[in-house]
Amino acid sequence: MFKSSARLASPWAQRAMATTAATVGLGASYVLYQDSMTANAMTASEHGLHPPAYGWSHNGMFETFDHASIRRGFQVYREVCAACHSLDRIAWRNLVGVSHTASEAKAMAEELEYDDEPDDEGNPRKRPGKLADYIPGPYPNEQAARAGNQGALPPDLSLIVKARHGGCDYLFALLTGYPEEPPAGVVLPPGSNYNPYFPGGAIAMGRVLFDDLVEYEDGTPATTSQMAKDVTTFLNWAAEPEHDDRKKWGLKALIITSSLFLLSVWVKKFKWQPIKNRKIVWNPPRK
Amino acid sequence: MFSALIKRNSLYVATIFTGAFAFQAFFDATLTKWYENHNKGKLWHDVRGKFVEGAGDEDDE
Amino acid sequence: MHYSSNIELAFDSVESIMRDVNAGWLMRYMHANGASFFFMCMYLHMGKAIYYGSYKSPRMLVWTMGVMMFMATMATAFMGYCLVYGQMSHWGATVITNLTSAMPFIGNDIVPFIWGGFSVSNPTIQRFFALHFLLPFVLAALVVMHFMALHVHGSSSPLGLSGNYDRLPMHSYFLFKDLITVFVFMMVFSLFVFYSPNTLGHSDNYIEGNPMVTPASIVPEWYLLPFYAMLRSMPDKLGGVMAMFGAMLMLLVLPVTDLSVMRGNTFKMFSKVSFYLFVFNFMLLGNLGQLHVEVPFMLLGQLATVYYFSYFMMLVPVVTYLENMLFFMGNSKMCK
Repeated sequence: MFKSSARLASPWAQRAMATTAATVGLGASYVLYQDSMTANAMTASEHGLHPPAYGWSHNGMFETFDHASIRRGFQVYREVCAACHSLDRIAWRNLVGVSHTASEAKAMAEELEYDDEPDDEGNPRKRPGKLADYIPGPYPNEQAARAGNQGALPPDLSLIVKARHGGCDYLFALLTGYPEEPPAGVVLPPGSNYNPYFPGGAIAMGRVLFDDLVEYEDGTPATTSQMAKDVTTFLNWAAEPEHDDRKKWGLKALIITSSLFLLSVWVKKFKWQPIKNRKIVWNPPRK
Repeated sequence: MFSALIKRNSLYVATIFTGAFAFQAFFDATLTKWYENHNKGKLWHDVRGKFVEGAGDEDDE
Repeated sequence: MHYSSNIELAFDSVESIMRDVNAGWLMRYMHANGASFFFMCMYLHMGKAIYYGSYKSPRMLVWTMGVMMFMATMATAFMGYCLVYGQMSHWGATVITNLTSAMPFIGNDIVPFIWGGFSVSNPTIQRFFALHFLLPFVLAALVVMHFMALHVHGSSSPLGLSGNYDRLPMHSYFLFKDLITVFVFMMVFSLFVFYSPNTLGHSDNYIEGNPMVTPASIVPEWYLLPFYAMLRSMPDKLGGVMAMFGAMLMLLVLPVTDLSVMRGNTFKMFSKVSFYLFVFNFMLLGNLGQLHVEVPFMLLGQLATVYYFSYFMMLVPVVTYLENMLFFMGNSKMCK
């Protein structure tokens, strides 16, 4: 039954058919792929320019965050970004052992006043901050934030790295990507600035990072790109505080699972050995 | 030595439990050591000296 | 219980699990990526069943139950995705629940019934949570029934012949063989959970759901994309909904439209070609599902949808019929 079909196609014809099929398939895939790369009704400026891939010190399977950079980034956040952006999901306690000591974090919290329990007559009271308090935002509510920013709402930064396409690369490119002047022909709505990395090109936030805007404690020169790098690292930590542990646990998981995998291959071979090597003999019955 | 450990079921179970406990402690310690060595200079306890005077280790946690 | 299904708390409680619960990030990333890996295994399993003709009589009941499980899993995964209540959750829930409005006569009454209000709001998320908890038990029951139906006739084999001649016991032989796959699965799973936990998700879902702001593009998780592409390829809402659900139900016609005298594609050259074209087309649909609805992709989506349906309704019956003829011709030649 199968012999006859094999005879129909000689090895040469089979090879020719396979080659033709493969060529047609690959060619079609290539054409479709090229088509999907070029055929965009939306322009690049509407999507926002793709950021380049930067060499972050925490890129790679075994790399932790650079904690000195986190600390500098927190300084940049506190002195620059915090004027408009909140960081609602980070409490002072989160900084302890990451970028600050407990006493430093406590001191920063105590500088601020938080709402306390009302007293016995029900009058509101204030108390100095504790480690368990969250970092307060610059505005009491969304309306105040919009009113302070010509109608635009500065997003909360706690999750910003995970909530944007491109993550760190996008953030760094955006912070450092403001040109001196918008390109000729670009019409911006009032109150907005040009940034090619922002989808649509018109962003309400202006350029905020300028050389020597902050003075770093460790003497690192505070260039624009240095500050952008540090604040991005800090915000990445804020979005993924588990990052360092995650990579360490992953390494453990991979070592354990891959050794168990090798062991299981050996056990399977051991168990199946007799089956794979058996010989089945059939003695035809005599007529 | 091995026959002594696996002869009685209770001893066998105890061997496995203590063995697992000892292994995970050793495994965790070795890996943490390697990981911290690999990332030397980036971790908080490496850089804290640059920012804070004095080594008050109890201050960190 | 750290998760709270109240719409005001859902997103914050998920973030609290990620930050304040011990190893909460691990559990959440495993849960989220686990859904994706569930679908990966399921699609592989279905592809294998289609390739080897496992759906053919006498195992039609197994196949039918499998299709039901596929749809129940999709519902479970979709509702779980909504529970995070990020932007994509809210807008995904809005788009999918709105589909029922295409139903004639009752459509516009059913949508508020599902919502429990006049938009995706607190009751919607609350009941999705209840269902997301309930449906896995239904699925588990279906899995047991899937096994029971399978064990009436036993598994089919790649040769398309009965395997009842030379059997090995499950224990030791197949348990240890499957264990290898289990560890391979766990290795790949660990790579995603620990090193790339958000690759399979969408960054917009880390923005809290906001009914006032529509995201630039509303995209479901990757495992729903092929069906989403078929939904969007139709110019009419009802047509789109019918295409999407029809595409899932189409799987049920395979036992009827496969006319082959032999089980499986192992010895069938033309069926193999049409099967792999079908797989390619399915992946193409998946890719089209996440692209913007634009000029070249709209036509491509329609063509791919037509091919998807014609595979079940035309290619399978015609090709298997032709191959039957080839088999008979070959046999009669040998007999000469």
